[in-house]
Amino acid sequence: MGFVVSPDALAEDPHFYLDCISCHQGNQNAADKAAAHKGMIKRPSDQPETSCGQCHEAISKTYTLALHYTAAGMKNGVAPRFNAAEKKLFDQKVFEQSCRSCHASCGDCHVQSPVVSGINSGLLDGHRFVKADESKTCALCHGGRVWPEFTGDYTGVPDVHYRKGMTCTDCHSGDQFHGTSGAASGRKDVANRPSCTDCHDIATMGKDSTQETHATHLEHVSCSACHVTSEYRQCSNCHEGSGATAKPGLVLGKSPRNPKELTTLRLIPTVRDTFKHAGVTMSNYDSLPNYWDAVPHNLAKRTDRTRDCNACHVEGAHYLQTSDLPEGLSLKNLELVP
Amino acid sequence: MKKLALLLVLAALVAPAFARDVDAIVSADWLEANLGNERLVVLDVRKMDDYKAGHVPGAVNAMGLYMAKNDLSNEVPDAEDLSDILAESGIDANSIVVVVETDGARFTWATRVAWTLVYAGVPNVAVLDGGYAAWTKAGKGVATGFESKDETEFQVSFNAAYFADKAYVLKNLKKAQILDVRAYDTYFGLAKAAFVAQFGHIPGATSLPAAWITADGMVKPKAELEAMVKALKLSASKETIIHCDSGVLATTWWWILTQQLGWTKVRSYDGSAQDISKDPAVKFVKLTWK
Ligand code: HEC
Ligand code: HEC
Ligand code: HEC
Ligand code: HEC
Ligand code: HEC
Ligand code: HEC
Ligand code: HEC
Ligand code: HEC
Repeated sequence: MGFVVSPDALAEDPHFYLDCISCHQGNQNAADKAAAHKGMIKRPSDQPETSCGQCHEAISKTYTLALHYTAAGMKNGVAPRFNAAEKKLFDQKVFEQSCRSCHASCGDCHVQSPVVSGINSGLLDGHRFVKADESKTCALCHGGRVWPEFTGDYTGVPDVHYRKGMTCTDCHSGDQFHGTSGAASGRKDVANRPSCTDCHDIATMGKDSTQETHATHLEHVSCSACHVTSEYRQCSNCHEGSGATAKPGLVLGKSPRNPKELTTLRLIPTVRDTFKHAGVTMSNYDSLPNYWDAVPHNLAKRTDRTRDCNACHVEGAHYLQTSDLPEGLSLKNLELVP
Repeated sequence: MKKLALLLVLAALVAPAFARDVDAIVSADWLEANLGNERLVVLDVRKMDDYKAGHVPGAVNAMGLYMAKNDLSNEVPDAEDLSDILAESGIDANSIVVVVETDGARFTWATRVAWTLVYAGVPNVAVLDGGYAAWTKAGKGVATGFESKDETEFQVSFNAAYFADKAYVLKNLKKAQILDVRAYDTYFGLAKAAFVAQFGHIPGATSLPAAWITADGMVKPKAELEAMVKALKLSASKETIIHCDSGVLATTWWWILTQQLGWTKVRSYDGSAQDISKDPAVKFVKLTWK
């Protein structure tokens, strides 16, 4: 039923002032299916400027710079591991064919469930154009990590924000996804991304002792290092095409982007031969670590760390240790051990 | 004077240990008729997305009322966290709480929450028979979106007598009446959950499957439930421990025995088989065909 265009939607949604063919092409007057579908475009919003851009000009222009469209975060995330020749090969053989194919069209957030591993559950609401429907859109592409961490499906404890009825778009705005702050090379570059302190004024909230803890650690420890409540997904042994295996874990270590900060790390292991089957090697493999600073979406007011300062200061609970580092991975990982 | 004192003591013994202001299981009709009651809190424990898509008008959503802890799958949250969740849901000790799960198939999860609440010191708790499915099937009113109630000052105060931990079970292994509410095949040792270490059941345990409580997703009449317990020659005056695999199913019979049939000496073993099967001192027994 998921693909059925509902007559109510056609009557109510302003987008259907247009004929089907103005977005999908094909031949409206043909008598049989094959002829009618000739030249049809299944995913019109993959070329946003010529489709949606007719009316949503600004969004469609900036969107072509957004990470969801360029997938530049994934590309730049491994680029330093290659030398120039390898990089070229990677861009052609792996990135364009494999990584970029999971980028999002406008329709993946607004019209239909995205196709993930060849499966899709169809139109969101009889082809209505919706502002957001997170459980049928974000949840599918971010179903490996963020979504199940947030709802508690992964480890049983839902994020405090989910418990309060908040969903993804209560923190992540349309502007962030439409690329209105310009081209970005990775997610830390997105100027209008959310930050915990947009909503929480740590100078005034909570008891005196809470304010003191927050003030002391502001420069040294990320919010998530204390407030992530349970283990989150750590991947290992990632091979292009076959994916990675995953197990839960909570890992605290130095942020690869700011060694002065202790934060939550996630293992996203490009192994040495990840791209081997595409014939691409990584001469500079050890220039990047395999652990990255992450903001796992399963936060709570109280955790083993907020309850007991000694969890960090005496026991070093969850701290990354040299002996935990998976064998054969980047030597750079050693620098993240607190 | 002495006589009067004695009478008072007797009266105290005869009266149920708790004073219920609501039945343990309520119907959609009852709930609809009582939505105006100021003490009422409809606690919807389904997934947030399902709750937002449609719920009993005025219901609040609460999640995180059971969690994995200390290598056990379903445990009670820490007191402070549970206090926060209940207080933020607008619940206090004086509330009448109706727990709403998805449907009859999730009855066990509804009683798990209901047990947690009475254990935490909220005596008047009921389970909506048939869950939200029964509500919509009966064509009752539905609200969408997120609703909240004024936060209370509630602090949990655990009722130790409703709870068994491993130490308690080990100490009372011989004395207590132990009820195993898992499916027959599990009890007899033909099947077991992956996270349980031994096949079979705790020596001396009586099988009283949770599945017997409902038919077509609705709780069977009280007389029928009473008859089952009688047929198995179970005694209300004995110390009783109920367990299952991970502490969820156990709460079904705990709920019926204590809240509906008025038994007063029943504990639910939260750690259940997942916990005790790891203890080499407890050898589970299996059915043999000899
Ligand atoms: C012919 C002009 C036109 C085209 C082409 C068009 N839109 Fe729209 N769009 C509109 C109008 C008009 C509205 C309603 C604006 C309003 O209600 O303020 C709208 C609203 C929307 C909304 C908000 C819906 C809501 O519930 O408020 C989304 C999302 C959207 N469009 C996405 C798209 C996408 C994606 C495309 C390309 C596939 C697209 N539109 C193409 C005219 C257009
Ligand atoms: C078609 C699949 C797809 C859909 C649908 C999707 N995402 Fe993403 N998302 C991705 C991919 C792939 C990346 C990584 C892009 C990169 O950095 O190269 C990403 C990156 C992100 C980022 C970090 C980069 C940034 O834009 O700041 C956030 C935050 C995010 N997604 C949130 C969401 C939310 C919220 C939704 C739903 C409204 C959503 N995503 C829908 C695939 C998807
Ligand atoms: C304003 C542009 C627009 C118009 C007009 C439009 N569509 Fe679509 N349609 C889309 C978008 C966007 C998608 C989602 C694919 C994507 O991400 O680009 C889509 C998806 C679909 C799909 C699912 C395709 C698949 O196999 O995955 C069907 C079927 C469909 N449209 C049918 C119709 C019909 C029939 C009409 C006319 C009644 C129509 N569309 C009019 C923009 C449009
Ligand atoms: C309470 C606010 C909040 C909510 C709700 C929220 N996020 Fe985030 N999200 C953040 C913050 C803050 C960051 C960190 C931004 C940065 O990189 O500095 C983030 C980062 C991300 C990232 C990139 C970081 C990473 O570790 O990969 C993704 C992807 C993401 N969010 C997806 C989602 C999705 C999907 C949802 C809905 C399930 C969601 N978020 C709900 C606040 C939120
Ligand atoms: C990664 C998900 C995602 C993608 C891809 C995406 N959007 Fe959006 N869009 C959003 C979110 C989130 C909102 C804000 C929803 C809300 O406020 O509830 C939004 C809002 C809108 C609106 C409503 C008006 C506004 O500015 O708030 C329009 C129109 C729109 N998007 C069009 C588009 C078009 C056209 C594209 C492609 C060029 C696109 N979107 C791609 C997530 C996305
Ligand atoms: C868009 C605003 C927004 C953002 C961004 C946001 N939060 Fe929240 N947060 C809220 C709201 C609203 C609540 C519920 C407030 C309440 O009930 O006291 C909340 C609750 C919390 C609580 C529980 C407080 C309590 O008293 O129970 C914690 C802890 C928390 N947030 C941490 C974080 C962290 C860490 C981040 C960044 C990763 C973050 N928040 C990002 C809005 C936000
Ligand atoms: C060193 C550990 C630590 C760090 C880092 C930390 N917090 Fe906290 N946070 C705490 C403790 C301890 C409490 C008090 C918990 C309690 O009351 O039991 C708390 C409480 C809170 C609360 C609830 C306040 C209330 O009303 O009681 C919020 C919201 C919160 N933190 C947000 C944040 C944000 C946002 C950040 C990052 C800017 C952050 N925390 C960083 C330890 C930390
Ligand atoms: C998540 C781990 C973590 C927790 C929990 C934590 N701290 Fe810290 N704390 C750190 C780190 C990392 C630093 C900065 C590096 C250092 O000095 O060790 C720090 C710094 C400090 C400092 C400042 C030292 C300086 O030189 O500036 C004080 C004081 C302190 N912590 C006290 C506390 C107290 C009191 C608590 C409990 C309320 C607490 N910490 C909880 C990790 C933690």
